Amino acid sequence: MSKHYDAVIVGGGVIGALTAKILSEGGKSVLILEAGIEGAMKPSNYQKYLRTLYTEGGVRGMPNGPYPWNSAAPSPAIPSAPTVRGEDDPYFVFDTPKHFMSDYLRMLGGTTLHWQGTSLRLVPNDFRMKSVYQKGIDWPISYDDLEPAYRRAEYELGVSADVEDQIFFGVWFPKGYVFPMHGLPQSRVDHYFKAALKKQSVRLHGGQYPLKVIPIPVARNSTPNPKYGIYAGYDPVSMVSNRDRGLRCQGNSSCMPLCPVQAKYSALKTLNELENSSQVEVRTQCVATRLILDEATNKIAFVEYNRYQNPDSPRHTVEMAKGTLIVLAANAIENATLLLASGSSPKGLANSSDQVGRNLMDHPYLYTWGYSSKRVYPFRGPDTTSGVESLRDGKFRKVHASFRASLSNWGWSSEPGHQLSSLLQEKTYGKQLRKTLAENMARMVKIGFMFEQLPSQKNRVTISPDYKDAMGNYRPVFSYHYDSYSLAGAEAAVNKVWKKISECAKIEDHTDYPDPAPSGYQRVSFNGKSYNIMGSGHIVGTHRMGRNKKHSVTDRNMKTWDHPNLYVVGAGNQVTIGTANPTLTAAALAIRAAEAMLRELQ
Amino acid sequence: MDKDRRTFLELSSELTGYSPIDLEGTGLVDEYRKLVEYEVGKNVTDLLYQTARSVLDKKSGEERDRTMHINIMASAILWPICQNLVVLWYRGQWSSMSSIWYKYYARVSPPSKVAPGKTFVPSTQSYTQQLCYKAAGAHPPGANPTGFGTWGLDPVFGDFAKHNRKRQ
Amino acid sequence: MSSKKSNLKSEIRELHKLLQDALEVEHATIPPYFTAWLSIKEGHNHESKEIIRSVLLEEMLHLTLAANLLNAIDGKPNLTHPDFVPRYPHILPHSGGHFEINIEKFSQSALKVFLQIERPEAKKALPEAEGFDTIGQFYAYVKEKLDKLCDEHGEQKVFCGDINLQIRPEDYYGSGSVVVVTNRNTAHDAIETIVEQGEGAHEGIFDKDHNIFGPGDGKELAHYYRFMEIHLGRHFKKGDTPRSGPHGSPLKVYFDEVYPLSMNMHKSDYPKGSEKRKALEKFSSGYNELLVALEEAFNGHRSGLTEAIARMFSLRNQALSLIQTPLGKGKGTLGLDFTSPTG
Repeated sequence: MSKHYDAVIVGGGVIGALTAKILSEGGKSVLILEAGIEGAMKPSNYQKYLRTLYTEGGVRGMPNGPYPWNSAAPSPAIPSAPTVRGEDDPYFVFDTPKHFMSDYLRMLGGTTLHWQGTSLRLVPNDFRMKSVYQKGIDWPISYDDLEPAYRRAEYELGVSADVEDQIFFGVWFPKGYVFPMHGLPQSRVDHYFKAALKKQSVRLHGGQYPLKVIPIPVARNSTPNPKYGIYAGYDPVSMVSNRDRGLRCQGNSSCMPLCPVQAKYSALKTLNELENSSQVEVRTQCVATRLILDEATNKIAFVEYNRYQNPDSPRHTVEMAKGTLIVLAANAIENATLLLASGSSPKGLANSSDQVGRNLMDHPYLYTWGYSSKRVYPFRGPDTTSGVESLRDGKFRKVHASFRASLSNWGWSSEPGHQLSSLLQEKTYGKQLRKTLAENMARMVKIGFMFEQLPSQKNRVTISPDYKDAMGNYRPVFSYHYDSYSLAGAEAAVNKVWKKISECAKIEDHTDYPDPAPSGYQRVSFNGKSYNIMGSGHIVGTHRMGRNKKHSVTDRNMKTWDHPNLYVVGAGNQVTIGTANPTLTAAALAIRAAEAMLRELQ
Repeated sequence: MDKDRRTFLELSSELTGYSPIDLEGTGLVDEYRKLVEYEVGKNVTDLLYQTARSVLDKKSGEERDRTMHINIMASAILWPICQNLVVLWYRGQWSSMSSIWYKYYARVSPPSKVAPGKTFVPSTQSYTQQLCYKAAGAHPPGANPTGFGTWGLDPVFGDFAKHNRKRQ
Repeated sequence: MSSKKSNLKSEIRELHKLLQDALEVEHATIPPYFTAWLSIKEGHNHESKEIIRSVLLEEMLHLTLAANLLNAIDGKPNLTHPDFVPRYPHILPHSGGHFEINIEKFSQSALKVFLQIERPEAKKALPEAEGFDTIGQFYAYVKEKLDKLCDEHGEQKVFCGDINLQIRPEDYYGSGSVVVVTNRNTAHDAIETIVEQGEGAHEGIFDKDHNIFGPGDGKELAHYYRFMEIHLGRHFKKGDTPRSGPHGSPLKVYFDEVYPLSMNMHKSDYPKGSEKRKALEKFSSGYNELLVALEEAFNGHRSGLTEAIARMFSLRNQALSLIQTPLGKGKGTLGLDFTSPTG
């Protein structure tokens, strides 16, 4: 450890990359420590992961499917991981009957390698749930406060949408603002539902709510808007290794787990911009293990990390990194466990509030599905290009969770494999098989509902000396429950909203929640009905921001209350989850935090 | 073309409902033939092709269908192979015959490289050439994309595509 | 005064014909490049495949630029007349008439033809009215003609086409930037792009764009020199000249890792009603549908572009099926017929 950096950033995903970009633009020196391997950044690896997607055909639907197991820096839900007897996952530990079912990826580029790309802003009421609905807690900032950072985040991620579609529930944009690229073309599925739900509404607590099909803003390359940036325009960012590829979405239909042409944003693109920067150094295969405190100043003196040569071996050297500022950007789980693992007490560091690891939230997710009354030709395009977005807010939030309903362009889950088997069982073959299968596939529609969760002290990630990985680092231990607020939302979604939608759209309903739940789902019961739900990969809340040090981990600029030079940044700062996929918000928070860091470093 | 290759191709065509030239176009005929023959062994291969010929040599579609039902679908040895063959063509994955099939029906030992009952994707080409998507005008996830914006159009290929494009 | 006016009309008409020819010349290279590209098996010859792909993408750009040029002077791009797609082997118009182009697999002989197509214009060569020796000369003539007409009649009179017919940069992606042609300067830009990407600027072997293949000296090779790299199995490096040839790192090429497709196949090679004929016919009518969609796009119906793209992606898969279809032991595989269904 020879050099002193202006900032040492733990994590080489979207948060770390954006922070590094902004700090380096301000002339500051930055070190990024990434636990995982360089992996997808290298074109030959990228092609290898794509081939794994093909040859392990069944990994479709598993976000971490194509990515290799790394015993030195494990990720959850890696199919090629060695199975451990008696363990549901070789990395995550589950302390409650309900498991935390979301995952993330520890590799340079992070979870944006496998995300869908949905880039929604939170709506204003998401920031003031307590004041408006007497539920949850209010943020110390408002939508208005975060709006400028949202705009920059939309630039950095390359978001495609049209402003006129996105103005609802008080979401506003400055006059003249346009997104960098126009919204993606709508699918036949979207057209079908849009026509069917025109002027339709559903009755929920508090009144009638319209059912509106609205295009979804996404970080995926589309037609650039010449009016962007005061007529400077926007150039779509290509695949990192090939400027001719990825300039538009081609409809590969594999955003999750991997876009073959990188038309979808991943942090590789931001990291690629920084490749030749003399300000930014990226070190992979460096797992941060502890933050070392300077007792006199309460500042973090060093980041201690294990540097390993081989992902298959726990052998490592111990090194230290020193920075004026220390930034944790390793995602909501790893940020929390790193804080808990540091310091000399079980409470860890930055935890006078006892909130580190608590208030863990995700979007519980379920599907409904059926046959449309005419062909809509799914199994093409991005997973989702529109959703029923008109239930993201409303009076009903006083009694149950709000939710989004994504229209899927990918047919039913586990299809067409399931259908094929059934047809063969019935001794259908040849031309009849071909005809029936094609016809059924052409009319498969599916809707994905995602529900908000309220912050709860008992939803948390902790660590325990009983659970360590091969390198001797703490594995995340989860306590997780669904409360009636979310489950009541699920109930309304399936029994009222889906019911109304399927009636208006003349859908032959085939929704079924078998017991036991299929792999990747878990079963919940509420008011006499059962549902199979899964996680969304939207991990927030574990180091939330707040107004004072009693109830929160950081201030409104993501700086910890307890340590004057420590920032903890990401979706973990979110106070509530709302119904927005968190990456855009996390990126906006990172931008806001980095700007505060720059001010501090001047 | 050698006799067995022809039978394998015609049987595949009969079972999948795709013409022989369509199957040739996948470039997988030889790979799949080799795979199946290895997995089921020589004796069962001979039985399969012999029985297949009894179906394929019938003149009318009706007769072929009847003979298919009687000679192949009723066979606990042959119909499971044919089902797996359809899945191989349609989904690009092969499920090895089960231990029970090897022990009680075929009455042969599984060849050395076979893990009974396991499903695998033989090659990347198998994955990209899955027939189940072609008829529907779609494509396997991550391969053969249809192009920017095409998800908003009717398919231009497959069994639903209309070919009535007139010039101005 | 009146004689000047009629001059403009007939001169513009000649330019319409020339630019329609340009459209056909740019297009005529697409089936051969496409076929050579597709014939390279996946996983092998990655570099050569990428090089040919990059050239193919630029030819599509040139086609679009030619359409923009034609539209700018109020011509009507026609991609669907029965001879738009030539029968191969084909002698490229306005190129000296010395060599034939084929629809064939990737090979040294194919490369030699490609080198002829992209052959740079000799420094001293003057634009000629007939029998151009290179495509570069042909465009130089077009440029001169446009300049002359602008000088005599005014830019507005020459560039009188509907701007809404122009394909704009945001509509087009994949390779470089489309030029919206509205006046003399933008017409020059369009022509320069075509010529520089193809043959290279006179000064050297690099055009002014930036590097595809990772860190380098930030310059982009013209088509001619890209093909030369594959042909000679070696990359160019900084300091190399056209005379010195390439002295950079070796470029390994495996000419046997290609589909052995039949050269210059035509649907009439097989009897009517036969499976192989039907497959060839299906492809050629598919290609025709693509040209119909593209023509629509070039004549004001922007939705035609999305459809054209849909057909491009679909045809690629169809073509792959054809060139994988064996013809029997030692006889290779089926080829591709791009000609019109009635051709």
